[in-house]
This record gives sequence, structure tokens and C-alpha cells, in this order.
Amino acid sequence: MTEELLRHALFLPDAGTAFARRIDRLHFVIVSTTLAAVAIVFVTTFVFIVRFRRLAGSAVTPRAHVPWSVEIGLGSGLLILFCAWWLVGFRQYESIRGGSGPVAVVYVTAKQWMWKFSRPDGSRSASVLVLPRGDAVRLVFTSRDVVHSFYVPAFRIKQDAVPGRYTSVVIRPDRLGTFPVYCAEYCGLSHSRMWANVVVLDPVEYDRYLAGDLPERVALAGGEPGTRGGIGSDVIDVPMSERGRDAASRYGCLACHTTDGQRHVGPTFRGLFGRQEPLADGRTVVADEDYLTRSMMEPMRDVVSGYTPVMPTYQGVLEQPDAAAIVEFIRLLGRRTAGSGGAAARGRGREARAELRAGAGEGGASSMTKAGKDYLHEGTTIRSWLLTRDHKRIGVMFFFANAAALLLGGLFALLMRLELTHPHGTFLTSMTYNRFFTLHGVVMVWLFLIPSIPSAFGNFFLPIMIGAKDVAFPRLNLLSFWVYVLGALVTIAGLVAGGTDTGWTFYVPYSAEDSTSVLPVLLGVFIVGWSTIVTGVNFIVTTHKMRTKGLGWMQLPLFVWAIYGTAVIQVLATPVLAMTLTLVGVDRVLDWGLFDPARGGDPVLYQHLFWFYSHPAVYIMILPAMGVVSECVSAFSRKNPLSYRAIVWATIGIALVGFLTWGHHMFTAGMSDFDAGAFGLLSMLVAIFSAIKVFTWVGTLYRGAISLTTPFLYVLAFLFLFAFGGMTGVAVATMSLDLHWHDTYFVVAHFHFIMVGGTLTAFLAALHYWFPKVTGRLYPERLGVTSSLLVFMGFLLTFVPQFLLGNAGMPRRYHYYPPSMQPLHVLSTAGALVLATGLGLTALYLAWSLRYGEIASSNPWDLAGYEWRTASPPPAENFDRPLDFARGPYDYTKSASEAAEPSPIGPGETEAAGV
Amino acid sequence: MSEPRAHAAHFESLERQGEASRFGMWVFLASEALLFGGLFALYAAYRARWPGAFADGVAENDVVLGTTNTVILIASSFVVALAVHERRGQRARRAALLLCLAVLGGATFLGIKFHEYGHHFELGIFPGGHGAHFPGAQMGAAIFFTLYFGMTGLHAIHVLMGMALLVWAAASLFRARLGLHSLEVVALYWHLVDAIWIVLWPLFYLLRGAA
Repeated sequence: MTEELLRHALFLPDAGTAFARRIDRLHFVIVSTTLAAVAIVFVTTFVFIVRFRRLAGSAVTPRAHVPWSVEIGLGSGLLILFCAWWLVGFRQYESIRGGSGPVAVVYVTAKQWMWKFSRPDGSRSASVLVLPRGDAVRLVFTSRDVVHSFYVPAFRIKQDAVPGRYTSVVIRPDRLGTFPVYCAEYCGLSHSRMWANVVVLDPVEYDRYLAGDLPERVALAGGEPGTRGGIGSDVIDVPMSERGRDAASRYGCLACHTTDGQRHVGPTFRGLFGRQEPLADGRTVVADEDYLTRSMMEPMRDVVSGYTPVMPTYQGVLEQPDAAAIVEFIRLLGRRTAGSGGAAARGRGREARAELRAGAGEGGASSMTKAGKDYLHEGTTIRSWLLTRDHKRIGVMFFFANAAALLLGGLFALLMRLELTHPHGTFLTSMTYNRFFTLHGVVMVWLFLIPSIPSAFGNFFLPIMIGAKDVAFPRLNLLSFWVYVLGALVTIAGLVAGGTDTGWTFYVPYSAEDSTSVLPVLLGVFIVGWSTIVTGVNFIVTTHKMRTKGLGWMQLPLFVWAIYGTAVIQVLATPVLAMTLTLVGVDRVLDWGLFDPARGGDPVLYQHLFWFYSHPAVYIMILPAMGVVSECVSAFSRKNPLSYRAIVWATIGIALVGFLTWGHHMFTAGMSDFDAGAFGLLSMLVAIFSAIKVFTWVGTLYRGAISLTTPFLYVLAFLFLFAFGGMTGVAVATMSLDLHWHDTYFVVAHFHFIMVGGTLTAFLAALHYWFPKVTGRLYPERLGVTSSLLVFMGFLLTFVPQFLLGNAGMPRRYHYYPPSMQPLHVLSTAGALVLATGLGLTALYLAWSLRYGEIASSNPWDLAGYEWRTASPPPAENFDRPLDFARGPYDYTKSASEAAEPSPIGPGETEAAGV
Repeated sequence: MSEPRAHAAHFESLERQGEASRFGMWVFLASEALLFGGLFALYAAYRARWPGAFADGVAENDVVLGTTNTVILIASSFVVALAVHERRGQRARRAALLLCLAVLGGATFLGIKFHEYGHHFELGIFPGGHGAHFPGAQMGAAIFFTLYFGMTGLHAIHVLMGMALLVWAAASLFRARLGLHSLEVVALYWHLVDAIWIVLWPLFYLLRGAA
């Protein structure tokens, strides 16, 4: 009873197996622990903010230190809890793989876009799998073309069907009914329509079914899940065209004929009825009822010119009422042809390029804000910017390029959200939708998230924070920027002109065989990768060799540590991605087929190599964000970090252990239980380091002097969202639960919590925190606070519904979805609009501030950090005079005047910004 | 790649700048090693999957030619190390001549390599399992030879890039315009080319038995 209630509250579908009910219980435990942990973080932070708010004159805080034993005790406590989850999850995971004793076997063959089931006795069915209640059945999967994933939300299981491999799960349904099956691994155009149903019958009926007695009632179970159908439902009341849509989907017509006007394997159904069709033999025929019916029964008689004659005959398969219903369905699809998606996408590409130009223009404008000999005025020609070797200017240029990428990626996210307000789409074809999410993913991951904080803020502040005049290799730094621009342009051009629709993961064999042009995008990402590597090498060498005399490793600001850790990952992980993408590219051009099952290759190896890069890439995104948070937490609570060492070691730990967890992206791909278990355990370990950081940040607030500025509000948003996103990360790393959540919106929501809720909020925090230093201007604080609230609220509204959608079984990369999920999708879209408003407002007032903002002093926040000891904006060589690094960057035990660090501009101007 | 005497403005000293360039090259070499690392991982996984085909594939390669190439590369690495030693002793001309010798070694290596490729093509062995050799071969042979061409081909590209760097360094040395640090960086790169081959050699010429 309680369980049913919780199930409804969490939008989980009814559980059709005992396994599903066991998983749900673990689910409830983990969700409540997650909520409790987030609540603890939130309430503690709130109490500290109220209790230790900054009062007038309270600029001095006591030095805090926490003994190692506390950090280690906390870490081990969490580790034990996580390991307990892992153990339960691992045992559940094992239980559906093996199974004792002989069980019945059903072979499941996946092909674009249809599920076929066959039994050892030779009986076959398509799109409907009939199982007896109470008996264990082993499903053995393989695929004829690309990777698919067999997902039954009601059973909480998912298993990839991989070409060239057999994978299997054992299920024991114990509830009668019809349960929808989705394909959860993106497989191309009609991915979201690759439906089937599992029908569970009681043993008596099941025997009759095997004897061939129940074909009619079982056949009715086909069609779109979640709408209708299933045993006992009355089909007489259904309009004929709707029945036709069902039949067309059930018999696989829609796998080859689209309903949106796009040409596919066969002619589109839209506008087909009544059209003059030229035939291959030169005759012309009117596509009327007779012709359409005849085509289903004798498809080879009248093949339309320009199409390959591959259609199977439906003589004796398709019954007359269904055939008539399909004709009616086609008739009602009318004559209107949908507009070409390609032209629209090209138009948007032009806008995007215009944005890029506008971004560059703005960068130029900011250089004219005021006179002086700071880095902005060391030369004001366009050339002095484009060919600069000044790390600060390169950082600023990177910022504008990244912001343009964010705008482009965000625009496509918004369009997708608008499209998803209706279960059958609103204004895009499936093809265009698939292109949009590919573009969104590729642009956001490689052109925004990975370079964002390191390349923009790291470039600007890393040398200043270590007292260097520049990075070690300034020319390479400039090269890195231009390589990035080149790679970005190639990528975007490839995405827009080639219409790549593989998703950002480029999974083979789909990416190797896909008809859209994938090569330019692979090339673009490859080029951007070299920019990342060069920047990484530069940062590592700079941190090692360019520190000013007397600045030891343990005196470095935490942001430097974060950028350093990131650089290590960039240098070691990116080449593997470069190689992997090269192999896919070479396969497309020269047909090398290293992952081709027909030649002995294994598509799953591609996934291993891809995630060997792409999981550490998550830490490339989040480590710099953590660095920003470490800085801001100390700055706005005027307090040294609760434990500097803990954060440093956690950073190193994340950078190293992060390399060993990639397999948790592949729990459903058919790894051995041992491999899966090892990856699961290591994933738990890496979460501990993040947890230690969260603990340290919250603890830093204790007895601080907290002021609620815009950057600090973004940091609070980060803390909350990262705690929740991180805990859900532990949840999806719990192996049995991942079988339900993998490739659903739950995972989408989880990684957006980390990447948007984590990296983007930290990016915005950094932008506001360092805005006075970079531009020499202050931004309007009130607008800053307003838009930070909009961003936070919009974010929650966008992605909390997506967690629930994932629970309900909504696979990712779905253009069409069951109507029952519409309300949550609409909520999510509303949230996206609020989020966009917040970001738009931010862009507006920051652009305004570039010209009209109040002039900033060298240290507007009155902070101890090294970067605040030089002018705003800094001079071309970063410092007018050698800096004294004797006072640490987090030393607030003395007031500013005692600290004997007279500001070059004078103490009179040193006051908090605009509050 | 700097002028020999003055250090760049953002460094404290020439010594520091030299350290930075060498260290930068080491970090880059780590990155390069990982570039091959993905391919080594593929080799290991596929060898475990098709041990027989891989053993047969190795037997198909000429161990004498492969070993000759190994000797040539190690010798050329030694010559480059000598060149650094000579440059340290301010004997730039001799250093330059030694680099030329190393370039010659690289060219010989590539010559032998391309001869081997030509022989494979004659036998109908092309990357991707194309060619007359494969229809009768066992499953996995296509993968082995694709990896063979891919990995030795990528290595050959690195040999070419290393040779280009050596030629540039030799030319600069003849005009007495190359600092010791820059030469050291070039030498490091050449040693990497050597080190990678030392791993490729057993993988494609020596491991004939089905493990």
C-alpha cells in the first residue's frame, strides 16, 4: 500500500515482476537518502547564512581548521553507505543475468525499427511478445543493424541488443497485462517509434496462445504504447484512421514510410492519397484505395519510380479491415507536404554565424571602455586582439567564443523543448529533431562546457594567481584559441550543412553507416580536441614552472589546483577521444570496419574507448567549476576554507579515480558481472571526493561573515544542485537501478544537474565574481540577484520534471512519446523558458555594464585573493610591482589595513560592490 | 624554438625557460602515448578475442625486416642523443651532421616499412579486410591487419613529423641559431617515436604463438 503510494508519487509505472518491486524498494531508500542529504546541505547552509551574515564592520573571521579525522571519518561513513547500496545493487543486477535451472528461451532480434521474437520451436512474432505469468524466461538479444536497447519500464529492465553479440536477461513476470516496450538506445530516424508490447497471459491462456488460438486478441496489443490497445480494450469505438495508424505502426509500415512528408525507404504517406505516382516501368498510376491495397498485397507489381523494391508482401498477413484502416489513415494524412527541415536548419546556421560575429564585435567594444595602460588598452586595433599573446586577452576571446557556443546550444535546446510540448511533436520532423539534439549535445559538450571555465577564466586568472606574467607558452596559447575557432566552425558547419543525426556520442555502427554526413563533425571535434590538449599542456607547465619565487604548491589558490587537475585530465583523456573519432572517420571514408561485427569487430569496444574519454570529460567540466566555488565560498564568507588540504586531495583524487569509472555508462551493454561490479564500486569511490568537497564548502561558512552577492547566490545554487545531481549520480551508478534509469530522462536530468546546475552556475558565478577585475566595471547587483533567482527557479522547473519522466520510463532522444507524459514535458518546457529569460537578462545587463557600469576599484569585494592585489583591469604584464605572497589568499584573520597590503589605487576606493 | 641567448620576457631566466620547454614536451609526450594507448587497448581486446588469427597474422609479417627497423630506430635515437651531447659542448656543426645521420635512419626505416606494405598489397592484404587474402582467412584476420596498418601507419606519420623536426633543427644548427633547449625538445620527440616502435615491434613481429 505504502509502496503503491510511493510509486505513484515518483511516477513509476506499476511493477510487473518481483524484481521490479525489489528495485523499487532500493529506489525508495536511495531517493529518500538523497533528499535527506540535500535537505541537510540546504538547511545547514541556510542556518549558517542567517547566523553568520556579514554585519557592518565584521570583516575579520577566526581561522578555522578541521582535523583530518573528521574529514576521513565523514568520507568513510559515506563510503560505507555507498558500498551498501552497491552491494544490494550488485546482487540484484546479478539476479537477472544468471538464474538457476533451465528456463524457456525467447530470441529477440532488433532491427531498425522493429522487435522480432522467436522461440526454439520456430514460432515467431513481431512487435508483440507473449509470456506466461509466473515462469522465468530468458530473453536472448541480438541486433541486425545498429545498437538497440530493449526496455520494459514495468519490469525495470533494459538490455542492449548489439550486432555481433548475444546478450541476455532473465525475467519472471508475475502480473497479467500488457506492458509497453521501448527502444532506449538511439537508433536513427524512427527511434522513438520502435515500439512493442509484452503481453503476460495466465498459463492456461498462454498454452492456447502457443497452440495458435489467440492471435486476434494478442495482435490488438500492438501499436503505440501508452495510448490504447491491450487485452480487453474495445477497438470498435476507435475511428478507422486511428485504427489504421495503429495497424501501420504494428505491421512495421511506419518503419519505412514516414507520415511527415520526408522521403524514406518508401514514399511518405503524407499527401500520398490521390497523388499521381510515376512507376518504375514508365506508367503512371493514381494512388487511390485500390492501388494502395494492391501495393500492400502485391508490392512488386507497381513499384514507384526511384525507390528500391524491398517491400515484403502482406498477403495473408494483413487482414482486410486493417488494410482498409491503413488506407483511411493515409487518406486523412492529406496532400499537404511538410516543409523541408534542412532549409530551416540552414537558416538557423546563418543566424548562429551572425551571432559569432556579433560576439567578436562585442569583444572589440569592451576594449574601448576607458583610457589607461591596462591590458585592454595595450593596443586597441582588431589585430592587437586577434594576434595577441596576452593570456588575458586570449581568455576574453575564449569567453566570447564560448558564450556564442552557449547561445547556439541553448537555442537548439529551447527549440527541442518547444517541440516536445506535444506527444507527436509540434513543428519538427523526426529527422530534424534528431539533428537538433545532436547539435545541442555536440555544441554544448565540446564547444561550451569543456573549454568554458578553463579556457576563459583559467587563461585569465591562472598566471595572475601564481604571480606569473603569462602562461609558459603564449604563442601556443594563441594557437590553441585559433585551433578552437577553426574546430568550432568545422563542427558547426558539419552539423548544420551535413545534418548529422548520430547524437553527441557517435555510437557505432550507427555513426559508421548513417546516411547523414558525420565526417565534418568528427573532424571538427578532433580539431577542438587538440586545442584542449595544447591548453592543458600549457596550464600544467605554467603551474609547475611559472610560480613566483616562494609560492609553494600548498599556498596556491584552490582555483589553480582545480585548473591544474583539469589540465591533467585534458592531456591524458583527449587523445583517446581523438583516436577513437579518427577510427570512426577512417571507417566512413576507407571502410576499415574496426568495430564491424561482420569482420570480427565489436561495437562495444567503441563504447569503452569513447567513455574512457567522455567520463573524465565530465570532470573536465566540473573540476574548474569546483575551483570557482572554492574561491567564491571563501571570498563571500570571508573565511579560510574549512580544510584546504581536503579540497586539494579531493581534486587530485577526482582527477585520478575519474579515469577508472567509465564502465558505468555501459551497465546495459552486456559487460561481465565482474567488470560491471568493479566499475560500480569505483564510481562510488569517486563520489566520496565530491562529498568531501561539499562538506568542506558548507563547513567554511561556519563562523564566516557572509554577504549574499550575485556570485555567492550562484554558488549556493551550485551547492544545492550539485549535491542533488551528485547524489542522483550515485543512484544511477547503483547497478540494478541503472537498468531502469539508463538512457532515460532520469539520466538526462542527472547530467544536466551536474553540467548546467554545476558548471553553468559556476561559470555565471565566475563571470560575476571576476567581472570587475576583467572589465574594470561593476555590474548592477540588483539585476544580478534577480536573474540568478530566475536561472535557479527555471533550472529546477526544467529538470525536476525530467527526473520524474525518467522514472515513468521516458527514453531519451525520443521525438514522439506516450501522451500520459505530456504534462511533465510541458512543465519542463516552461522551466526552460524561465531559464532562458534569466540568462538573456544576464547577457543584457552585463553588456550594458561594459560601457555604463560603475568604475571598479582594484579590490571591489575587499578580498585577500592574489588576483585582487593588482589593478582592475590588470596591466599588460599583470602586476605593476612584484607582489608579496606572504599573506595567503584566504587569510581573513586580520583586517585589510592590518594586512599591510596597500592597494595601488588607495584604501578609500576599497568597498563592497553596489550592494 | 627561441633565440639561443635571450630568454622570453615572461620567464625569470633562460634556464627556467629551458626547463619549461622540456617539461612541456614531456607532458605532450604523455598525451601522444595515450593517443596510441587507445589502439593498444583495442589490440589487447581483439587479440584476446581472436588469438589464432592474431598469431597467424604476426607470422605473416617478416621478423627480419621488423627487427632491422628496430635496430635502425634505436641507433638513430642514439645518434640524436649524441647530437645533444655535441651541442652541449658547443660543437653545433657536428651536432647538425649527426642529426642528418638520424634523418637518414628515419628515411631508411620508412623505406623498409613501405617495402613491407608493398609486399602485403601484393599478397592481397589491405586494411579493412579488403583484398584477395581475406575471403579464406579466419575471422579476426581483417581486424589484425587493420590494426597493423593503422598503428604502424600512425607511427610512420610520427616518424615523418620527427624527421621534419630533425631537418629543421639541423638547418638551424648549421646557421648556429638553435638553442640547446630547443634541440633537447626535438630529441625528446624523436625518442618517443623510438619508444612507441619498441612496443609495436613485439606486437606485430614477435608474438607468433597463440597465447
